[in-house]
Amino acid sequence: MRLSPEQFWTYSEWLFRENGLRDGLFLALVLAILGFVIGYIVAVVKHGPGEGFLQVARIIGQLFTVDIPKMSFRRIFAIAKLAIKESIRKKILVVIGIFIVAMMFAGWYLDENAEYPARLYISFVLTVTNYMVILLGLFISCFSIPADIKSRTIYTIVTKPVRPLELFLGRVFGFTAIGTLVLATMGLLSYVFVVRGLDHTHEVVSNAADGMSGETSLVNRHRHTFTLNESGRGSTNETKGHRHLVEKIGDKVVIKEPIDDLTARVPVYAKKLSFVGRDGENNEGYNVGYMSEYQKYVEGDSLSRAIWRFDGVTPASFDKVISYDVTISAFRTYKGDIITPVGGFIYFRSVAGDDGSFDKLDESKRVVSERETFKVKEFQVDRRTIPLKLKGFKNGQPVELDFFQDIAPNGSFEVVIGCQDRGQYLGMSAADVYLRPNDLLFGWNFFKGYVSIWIQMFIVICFGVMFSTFLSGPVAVIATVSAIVLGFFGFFVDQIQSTTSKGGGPIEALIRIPTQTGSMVELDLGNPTLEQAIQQIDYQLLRGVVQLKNAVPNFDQLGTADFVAYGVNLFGGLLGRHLTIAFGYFLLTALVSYFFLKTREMAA
Amino acid sequence: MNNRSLARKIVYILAIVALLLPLYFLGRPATKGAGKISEMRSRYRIGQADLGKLDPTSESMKLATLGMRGIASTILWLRADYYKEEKYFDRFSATLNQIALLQPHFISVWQHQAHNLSYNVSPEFEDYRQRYEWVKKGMDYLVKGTKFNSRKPILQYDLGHYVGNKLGKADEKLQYRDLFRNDNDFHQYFVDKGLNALSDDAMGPDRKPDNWLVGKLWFEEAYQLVGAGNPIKKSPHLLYSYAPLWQMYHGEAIEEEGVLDERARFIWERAGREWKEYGNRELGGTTSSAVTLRSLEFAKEEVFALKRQFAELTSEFRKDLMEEKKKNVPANKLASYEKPEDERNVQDRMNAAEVATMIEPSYQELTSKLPRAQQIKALELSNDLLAAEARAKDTNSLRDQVNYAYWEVRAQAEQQEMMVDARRLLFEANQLIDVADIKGATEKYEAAFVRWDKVFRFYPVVMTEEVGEEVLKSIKRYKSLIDEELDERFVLYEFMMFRRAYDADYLDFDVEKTLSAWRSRVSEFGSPEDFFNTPLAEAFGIQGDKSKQENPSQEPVKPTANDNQPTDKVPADVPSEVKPEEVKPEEPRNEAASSPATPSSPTRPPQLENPK
Repeated sequence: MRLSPEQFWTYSEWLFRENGLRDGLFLALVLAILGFVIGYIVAVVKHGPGEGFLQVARIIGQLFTVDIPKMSFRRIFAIAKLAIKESIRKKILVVIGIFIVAMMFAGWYLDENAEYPARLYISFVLTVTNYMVILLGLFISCFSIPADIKSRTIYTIVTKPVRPLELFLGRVFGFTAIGTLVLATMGLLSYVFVVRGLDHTHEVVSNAADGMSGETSLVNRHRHTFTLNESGRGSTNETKGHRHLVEKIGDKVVIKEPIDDLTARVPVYAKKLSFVGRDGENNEGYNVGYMSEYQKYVEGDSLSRAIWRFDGVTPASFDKVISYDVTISAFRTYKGDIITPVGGFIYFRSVAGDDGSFDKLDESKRVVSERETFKVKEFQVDRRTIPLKLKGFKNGQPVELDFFQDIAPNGSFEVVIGCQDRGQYLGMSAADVYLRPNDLLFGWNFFKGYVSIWIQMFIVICFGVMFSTFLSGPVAVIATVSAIVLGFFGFFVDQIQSTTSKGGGPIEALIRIPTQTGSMVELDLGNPTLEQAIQQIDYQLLRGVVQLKNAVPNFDQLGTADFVAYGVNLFGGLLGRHLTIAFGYFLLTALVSYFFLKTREMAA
Repeated sequence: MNNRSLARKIVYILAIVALLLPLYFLGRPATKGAGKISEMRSRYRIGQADLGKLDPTSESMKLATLGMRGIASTILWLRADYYKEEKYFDRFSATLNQIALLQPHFISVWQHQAHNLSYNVSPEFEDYRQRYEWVKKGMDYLVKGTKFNSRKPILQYDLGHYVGNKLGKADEKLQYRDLFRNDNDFHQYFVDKGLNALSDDAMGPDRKPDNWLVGKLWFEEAYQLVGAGNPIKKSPHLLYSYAPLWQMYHGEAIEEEGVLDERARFIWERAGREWKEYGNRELGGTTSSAVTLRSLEFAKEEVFALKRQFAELTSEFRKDLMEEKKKNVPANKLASYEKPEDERNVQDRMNAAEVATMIEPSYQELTSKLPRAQQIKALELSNDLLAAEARAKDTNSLRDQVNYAYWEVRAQAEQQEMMVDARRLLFEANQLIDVADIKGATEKYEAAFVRWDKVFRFYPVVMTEEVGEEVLKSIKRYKSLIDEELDERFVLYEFMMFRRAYDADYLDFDVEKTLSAWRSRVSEFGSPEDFFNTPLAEAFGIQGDKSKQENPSQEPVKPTANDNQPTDKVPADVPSEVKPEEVKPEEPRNEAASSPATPSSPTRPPQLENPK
């Protein structure tokens, strides 16, 4: 799983330190001015400059003086109830049936040889639910108001003292409620599907002479080996992302249900990862030639190191040992010893104050733990611990240390990793070393994953209802789908604009296709001015698309299925951030809908 | 108005019916009379059921894309690339399965992605056991492909390569082979999928399936499919070489792992037999007629006989024609040509070769000089000659491509007890180095070298390729053990010189010429049984060089301990021309009787004597 540092930010860090609030307010201001200008232009065209201004001012005035203060929750509730009834009448709940069918045949499409079946199962249910619920939100929200207008039932509503904002809120809340019901059912079914699908047990097929180790039977295309301790307890090796606890009861060895596959680790990530090069100077880590820049590498048997800086770690979370996970990888420049994996070492050390590093500490205050060596376990979670009472060095002298008194008295410390083998490299990213004070219940994390999907559904419903206030049903669907597609594939728009994708913009592409000019060749029309003009127009068109893309929600970033699938606790900060973003879109769509409903001629 | 509208509708309906009619006749199912499309489908056997297994998963997935299968598979390909780049390998593998479901009959998908899994993804893993699992995933992918494409032998062919070559030639081949041998679940998987990996033909010497032999079985599956008329885009001489070659690689592999006894000889005997059968198989050459790889001698004889007949007919005109043609040759070049051979410099040699080609009369020119009555006969002869020459050239070229002669001789040599012993002694010597028994290792090496010398003399071509390389490496190790340089008295000195020139690819070194010089001596040795059972000195007609033995500076006194050595043991430090005939390799060395002297002991001879 790939985590970027911005995903570790807490809610307050995002809101204040990283200027989430400021940017949000700024965007709101820009949109408000833009909305006002566009509204004014439309009003001028309709009513002339003087009357137009009055119209716009009146609508804005009414929003703050009448429509918001006099909003009635009873009416909103009534409209919401109507929306729910309408949805049920439209047989929306059939979606649940389709979902059940999808679950029944899921086994056909899931890779039976997968290395980590849990990840596959969880990704599958979350992705299917996500797409289905978004489609559901799209269709229920886009057709409702246009259908009312078409069947003229809207008159029975607008002739009542119902305010435009109430119409919008009622619909959004109603559709969200029915969507939530569908989503909750799907969530429950998915949970049962995942837990039941992964649940299995093995028999013991071979046992060593002393009965303390052996091999299990082949189930779901894998088997385990196990060892028991003197008290007759133990566990199997990790295969397909899980282990089993093993217990000797009487003469019989019993293999229990799988563990470690459905987890929700609560990682404490470092604030910063920095690198030291082979010469002992700071650098950005080495690139060994992979296209992906996610991990950077340290060189073996040199001064090259990776240093993670942790802050705010308190003794309360740890009892006797500090548990931490390492998920680094290795890169070999020569094959060397094929059997033994590349080795590394790890140690903990003190830092100066809140911002200072180890090097800024006075030499007499430098405290370093003893080096612990390890062999790299690639593409696996290497679960490690260090005792709170440990051996180390103070001012260069070997001493007994207490972790929280000597190394991290104020909760700040550094973790240093180096590679032992000359000429080999170890690769790591900021998220590859984290402390693991405890695990949460998988079910809770699964629930949070569904909250993420709910957020996306809510945004789609808001957009759907907004578009349906001024567009007909099918057109509203197209508009909402465009927003969703832009939201999912926004990165592609960025790629085109930043010319990472070759072949130019829309006009250039239109010329290239009939002239069969490949994207790797320069556009050559024999007229440089024309070429420049085309590229300029394309650039402006693309800029427009980019702006549009920035205004729609980034569904790609809102997706959090990976957290659940890879067994990492979905951070509260991240979820809070997404909820805040959803609320922002809710306000935006509510205002836009208000203006459209207010100015729309319902007699059409 | 209404009438016009009605008329328009009728026209539409008629047009629809008119369009539907040909569609109906074309698309009728075969059961209801001959629909053109279904007839063509069955003629070319491209109906879904003809291509391979009908899989409900694949079919429902294709339907679910609502005709946008192309777009869906393109997106999946892009995604697979992204996953691979970012090392999401579990997702990568899952995506490949989805692609395969969408495009089950697109062979390149299976081939390309299986290669990706076995060769590109597997090396990304640090632990060789994980690497093995990913190599297996590639094979599994191909096996799945075979079910969807029962008429595409290329997948079985690829499986033959993966199971044999990928597991058996990788750097971690020892580990891979061992994992494969003990991977009962995987063997059973092959059995379930229709390849009897538990049959006797797949069993190695330890009675466990061997990767080379299982690979060979996959090739044999491919051959069966090709034999049943399913095409494969591979040249027949290459395609059919793999099964016997895999048998030989199996022999090589088990010998490397220390199985150096009758079992190894038996495997090579089978390999030799299969190579011969392959040599007798008719293969399409570049000319229209089929050739067999073992017919080279016959082809050469045919050319020789026809040439003689043609020469008898045309010899009187040949000289005149050449003289006539010389008139057109530039004077300086002609001068080079006419110089005696030993007086020519490099430029002269080049000129002479050019002139020789220029003045050589063609069969047609010679025929035209004949009296009319003889021309028809000469014309027939020249046509036969040209065809025979083309056949010989073809045969030779195909043989070169598969290195036929080398493997033929190699299989014969490997069947000799002498060679198996030579290998065993090298293997034991290397093991003794690992336990720091330098003296024991040195003696084993020396005993091995005497045997290698015999093998090389009878089968000189074995000196090339990997066997020679292995022996050369052992010589280097031996040299560092005794810490002395080896000179012409060393028993494998001639071999060393050969390898030096061979490896460095000297300009004036002609491998073929040197090997044929070695080979020409072989005819004097008689049959291999005679040669390998005959004492070495006798085989070479050597009477023993007493002057060397008498010279104490070259031939130091043997350590006394060695005098006690049983005479049937390898006399490592005895000149090989003196007692090689007493070598009885099948009997184990009496370690207790070995000399306690260290390799650097001044009492030990610097090197084994060359019997020549």
